Amino acid sequence: MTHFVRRRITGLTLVVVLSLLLTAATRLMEDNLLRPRTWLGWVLVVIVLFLASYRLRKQLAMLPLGASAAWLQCHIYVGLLSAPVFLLHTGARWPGGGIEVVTAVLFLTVFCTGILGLFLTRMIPPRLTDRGEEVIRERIPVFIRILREEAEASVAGAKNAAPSEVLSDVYLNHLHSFFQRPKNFVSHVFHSTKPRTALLNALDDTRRFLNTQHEQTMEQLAACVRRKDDLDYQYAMQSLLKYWLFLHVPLTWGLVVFTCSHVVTAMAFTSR
Amino acid sequence: MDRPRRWDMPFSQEAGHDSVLTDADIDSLLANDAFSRIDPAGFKRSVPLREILRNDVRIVDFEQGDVIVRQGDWGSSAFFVLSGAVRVELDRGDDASSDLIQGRQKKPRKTFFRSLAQLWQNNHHAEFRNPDAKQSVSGNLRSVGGVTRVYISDVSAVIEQHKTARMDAGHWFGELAALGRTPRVATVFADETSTLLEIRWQGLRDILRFDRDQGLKKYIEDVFRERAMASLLRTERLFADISDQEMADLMPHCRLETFGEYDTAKPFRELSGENAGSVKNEPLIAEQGDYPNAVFLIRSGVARLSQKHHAGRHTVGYLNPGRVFGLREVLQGFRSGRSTGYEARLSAIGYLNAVVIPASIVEDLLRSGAISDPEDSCRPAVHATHDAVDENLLNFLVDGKYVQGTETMVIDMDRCTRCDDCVRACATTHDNNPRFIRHGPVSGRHMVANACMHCLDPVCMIECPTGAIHRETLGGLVLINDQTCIGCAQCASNCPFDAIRMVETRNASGAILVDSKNAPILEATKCDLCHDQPGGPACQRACPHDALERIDLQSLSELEGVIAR
Amino acid sequence: MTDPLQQFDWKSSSYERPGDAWVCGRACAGAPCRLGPSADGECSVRSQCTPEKIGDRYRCTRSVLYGGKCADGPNPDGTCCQADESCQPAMSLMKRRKIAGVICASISLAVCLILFSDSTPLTLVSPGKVTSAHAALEANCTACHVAGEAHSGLLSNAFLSRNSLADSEKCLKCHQDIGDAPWAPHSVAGHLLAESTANAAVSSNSFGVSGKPGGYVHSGQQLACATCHQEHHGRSFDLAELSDQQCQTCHKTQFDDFAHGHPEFENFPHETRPNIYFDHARHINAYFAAVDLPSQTLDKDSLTACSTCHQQDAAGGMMLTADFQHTCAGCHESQIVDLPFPGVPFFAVTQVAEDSDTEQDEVSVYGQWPVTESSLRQMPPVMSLLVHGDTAGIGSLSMTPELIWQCKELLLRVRNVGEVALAERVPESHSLLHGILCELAPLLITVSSSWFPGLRDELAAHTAEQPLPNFPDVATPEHQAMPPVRGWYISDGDRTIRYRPVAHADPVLRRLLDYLVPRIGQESVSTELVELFTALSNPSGSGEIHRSGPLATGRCLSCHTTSTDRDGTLRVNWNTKVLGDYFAFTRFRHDPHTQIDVANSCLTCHQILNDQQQLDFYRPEYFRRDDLGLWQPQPETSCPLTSGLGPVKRSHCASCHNESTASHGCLECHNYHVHGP
Repeated sequence: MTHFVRRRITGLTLVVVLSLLLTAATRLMEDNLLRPRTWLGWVLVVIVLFLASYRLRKQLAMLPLGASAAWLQCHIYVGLLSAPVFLLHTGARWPGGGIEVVTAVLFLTVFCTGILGLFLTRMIPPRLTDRGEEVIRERIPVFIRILREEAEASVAGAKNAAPSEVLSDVYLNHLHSFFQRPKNFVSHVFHSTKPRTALLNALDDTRRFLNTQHEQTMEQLAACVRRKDDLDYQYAMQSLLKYWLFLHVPLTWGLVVFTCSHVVTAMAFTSR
Repeated sequence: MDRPRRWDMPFSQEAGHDSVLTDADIDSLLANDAFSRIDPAGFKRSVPLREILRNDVRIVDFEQGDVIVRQGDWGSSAFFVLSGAVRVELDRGDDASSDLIQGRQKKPRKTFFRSLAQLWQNNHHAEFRNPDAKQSVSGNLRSVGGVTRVYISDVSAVIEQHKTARMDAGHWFGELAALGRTPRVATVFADETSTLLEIRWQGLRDILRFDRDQGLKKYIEDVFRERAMASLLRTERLFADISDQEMADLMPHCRLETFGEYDTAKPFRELSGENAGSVKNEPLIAEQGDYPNAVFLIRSGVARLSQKHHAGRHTVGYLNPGRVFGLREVLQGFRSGRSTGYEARLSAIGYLNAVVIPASIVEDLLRSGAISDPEDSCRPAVHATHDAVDENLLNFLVDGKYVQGTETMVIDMDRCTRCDDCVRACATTHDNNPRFIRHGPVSGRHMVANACMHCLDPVCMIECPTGAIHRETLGGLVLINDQTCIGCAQCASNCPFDAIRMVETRNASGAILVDSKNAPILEATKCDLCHDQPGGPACQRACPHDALERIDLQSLSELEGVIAR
Repeated sequence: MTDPLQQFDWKSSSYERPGDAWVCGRACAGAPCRLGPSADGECSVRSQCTPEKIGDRYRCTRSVLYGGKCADGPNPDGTCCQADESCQPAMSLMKRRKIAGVICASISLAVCLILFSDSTPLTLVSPGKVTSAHAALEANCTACHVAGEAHSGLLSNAFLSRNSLADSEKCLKCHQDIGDAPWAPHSVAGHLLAESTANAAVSSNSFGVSGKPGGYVHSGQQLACATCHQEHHGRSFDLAELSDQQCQTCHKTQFDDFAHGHPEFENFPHETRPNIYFDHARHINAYFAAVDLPSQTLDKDSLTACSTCHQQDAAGGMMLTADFQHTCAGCHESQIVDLPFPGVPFFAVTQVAEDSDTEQDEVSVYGQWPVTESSLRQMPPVMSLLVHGDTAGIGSLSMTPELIWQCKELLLRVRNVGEVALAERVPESHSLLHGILCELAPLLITVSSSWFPGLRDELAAHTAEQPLPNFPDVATPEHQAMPPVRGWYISDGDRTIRYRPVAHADPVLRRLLDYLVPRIGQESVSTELVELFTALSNPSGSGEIHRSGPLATGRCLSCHTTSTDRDGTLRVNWNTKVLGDYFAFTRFRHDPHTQIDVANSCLTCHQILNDQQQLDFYRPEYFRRDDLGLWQPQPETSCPLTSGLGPVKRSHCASCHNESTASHGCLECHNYHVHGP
């Protein structure tokens, strides 16, 4: 068993055990007419603040605040633990008040995007390693431009040979827009190779109209298409790895604000 | 502003020294034994001997007991005793000089608050440099030699307790470490009030290169045999306990051999080009299957171990300095009486400096009982092949010379989410400037990113005209003194790992600094392993997914530990 | 094998700066410039300048930093000759995310600030709908919350003050019927709860209350209403939910559920002292079975039917016993009304004690004192009380000459001022006794003139210490053992004023007993009261002291039991209703249960004990004879009267109230608020 597997099992076990303990503690407090909901609320506040503070840790990269990896592990498992705490806190009832509904919606959205992010960050990297050249996302447009220029050059005609009209047509009809910018985001997200196959087929269909030299050009074009498609794949996947944070992180700040409001109203109006 | 050049800052004024060598001083030096036999005519016009002396030499006075160099330090200068005498501590081992080590210079780490202050003190323009700091001679210079000295209070007691050797005026020392890019092998302190000449290794190198007489070069080789070989041999367990007499008998038979080119980075550049990965082009040292007539003890550089496999060759491991090749075969032959060939081929990766001990001498010593055949001598000549590090990766690391690295940045691309947290953390700790790029050659799922690996043998330092790129006195980190860097891009071109980047420096308003010809003033930048940060390398700590690791490839076990997680 | 797209050498690839806020505007087109935008998001490329006009020529002003003066110089019209190569830098992904975060936080903050501003109705921060019962209050936070009174105090209300009890007080504005200690556990004051806890601990099978039930009982900690009643969970939320586990936190003798481990109903109801002592077993088995029932109104069949006497109340929850006229009267009314009983004497001309020294001329000593042969030998207690005034504890009820004079003075005063004279004689004047005295006064006035015609003169002479005038003797009619009337009457034959009970629930006797019974147990009780109670409570008594006989007066307490109130006073139970607020801890409704087995619904649970021992009439343990051989009621605790019914078997209840019907929780039968509705 590798270190990471062991860590995962330990973490999950800890979350399960802690949530069972919390459930038992809640029952016990409820029976004793103590205030488990309030108590759990504070636990949840601490959890939310701790989870949000991960952002702060990233900001303070220069300080010896422990490895970010350790923080992330805590972030993940405390995040997972937050769901049972949330359920215990709300009593698995959907809240009725405005602030509470917004807080709950924000919490659940942040939680779900967190789970989504966990899923993405664990699923995508091996696929990225698998396919295409490893490139920095910000530079992909540059490489696309290089490929575009390469493709256009090959269509425009190799040295001492007239350009093939067939290939030019194909390029104009199918490939021109393809080489403009990252494409087929949705297909790549779902791992569909349909657009790629369609383009390659379109190119392949021209084979019967081409002489040997132009056939070579076509092969070069096809290679460009493949590489461009791989870049698109990298772009889509790397973007996905970044975009989920656009939900997760900004909503966290909203959640923190609404959590504070909820704490103030709940503490002010509690009659217990 | 003027473009910084080599010798903008003479060695005599660097790092707190502020004496100036006058022409009279230089004349008297030239009259000294050390330089009198050198023919100044052999030198290039741009690098005359006189200027070398003016700029790469300083005269330092030491009081009795002052520690001049310490064992284990990374130094990049050599010393010549002009007057007085120094004493060399011959004992090896860490405990011997513990009293001397106390005064070692500590890294000027940032305090917690200073570190935190980077949050708001970081310049928000990229690559900000204070143009005034370039010309300042005194004050906050990064230490190359280090002015703070440790002295031994009771010299006679040390002489009694430790085996020491006195070295009178007219001797060189420290040149082997300076030139061989190895740590200092012994501690040297002043035996009496002495005046020493200290020379940058670049200056020494130039003298060795252009001296037609080759007198100094010969002298240095003799000195090595006399001085460093014994301690080097004793690092091998087999010879650790033999008597001084036997050692004296052994040494004349041993040869110091250098494979590949000594003082240029050329082999690296060539090899990492289109010929990368081909064992064929590497200088052969010993062939697999050959009669084991010598034992090789690596002094510096890295060697590849490969075995024949059908038409090609398997890389089975690599040897770092201090490791031995051939001993196993010799011992086996001695035990069985039948000779067996070398188990693997040994070839130099670029440059290799090794001591060659003839097998017959080893057998003689075994026969005479001076050394005993250790039962567990089956210490493998090659790194045992582990499941975790497959041959692909091993080939990749050895072919790319990444095994040079002591702090190689290896990213597990199956875990890396390309979040760039490492790059941002790096920027935060370096005045808002990243010091590496998260790209680089990939093998399987491992990427060696373009970050300084702090090589065992930093070839980047070879052509530096000013010595701005240097090894930190302690620990051997390779650092660039941005106050003495002239932006010549020599190191960046030399680095086989694309770890050094030239940047256009900017002023406080974000405008690019240019010289009088409107060319931007460049500066070499690279990873400094956050040596001044309290938390160590920020990139590794900032990686949320355990993907990025700084690995010391000198021991494969560290890599295994990371890969097998 | 195609060449890799990227090159790593320092000339082809410079540092990527993902932390920067701005990226080159040309980056997405794939051609970013090496300079990159400035930290403020301005393009660093300055290919153009604003030429300066010197004289009639324009001069290039481009700084050396951007390439210096260009070779061509400005156009003739003063514009720069260079093409504008600057771009509009774009925000980096990081920057966009930061902005999204700031927007999200700002919107949230704005919404929250608006919600908490003074002009926003507080109801907007309501955490949910309240139950339908409280729905009318929903729009008015202040109705329930102290914190609702001001926006400004929200933070201090939240973290500095605790409003729980202040809020709970607001609950009590409507929920007034919760008792004096609304926030004590069970809404019962701490000492009472501790007392009943101690009592319960004596009984072997009670619900134990642990020593430290969250400290609630003993610490006197107050439980705010919202501890259990949590609002804002929707219209149909059950506010009064209380789980068995919550009960059992304090009630530590834990058991699994009602069917398993709940104590048996050993005491209740059959051993609880009923208000009316009615031995069901004896009546049903012995009397109703007898052939010659005296009753004219009830036949045998109806007698044995439970419903003849017991009917559910209008609400259906409680079984009521029908009134006397419809039940007991059939057999027992005649025993009350028709018995030969001369009545309780209240005033009598008693025989003067024998041991008096003044033998020679009695009349000269105490004047007129028309004793007859049947005159009583001792004063009736009430008379003694009146004559002695507040001098309690005379020890003897014998008549002496001094007392005769006092009697006469009393009579004269009654004649002069009416019942006031009597009332002032009884120190602890009480409305109950006062009513009786009011009725007695006219009779005393009558006898004062008929039996003592010369009373005024005689008293005047006695006061002046002159010889007493002579008066003719009063005529003495023959004594009649049984008077012809009921109620107050004057018996000339034995010179007494008596009261003969009129019927069941006689008002005078009832008032008299109501007056006596609470006082009889007290230490400071006067002898007369003890004597009077003895006379009235003696089950075989005649209404007169030392005269025994199966007479009706003593029988009030034969059927009507006494019980001790919670404040320790003894009271006569005149009514049949058993379930008062005293039993509010347990709740039982008969009507749903009687629907299950209509035919013999009552007997299913209430079994009649046919045990012979139970059939003893006047079981000795209910009463005891004191040293004088008089009957005294036993203290209640040591010996309850029984109803002749067997215990209700818990197992029978549990046949329905069990896990399968899920109707076995504590709150199925028990109320939390003992004082509650």
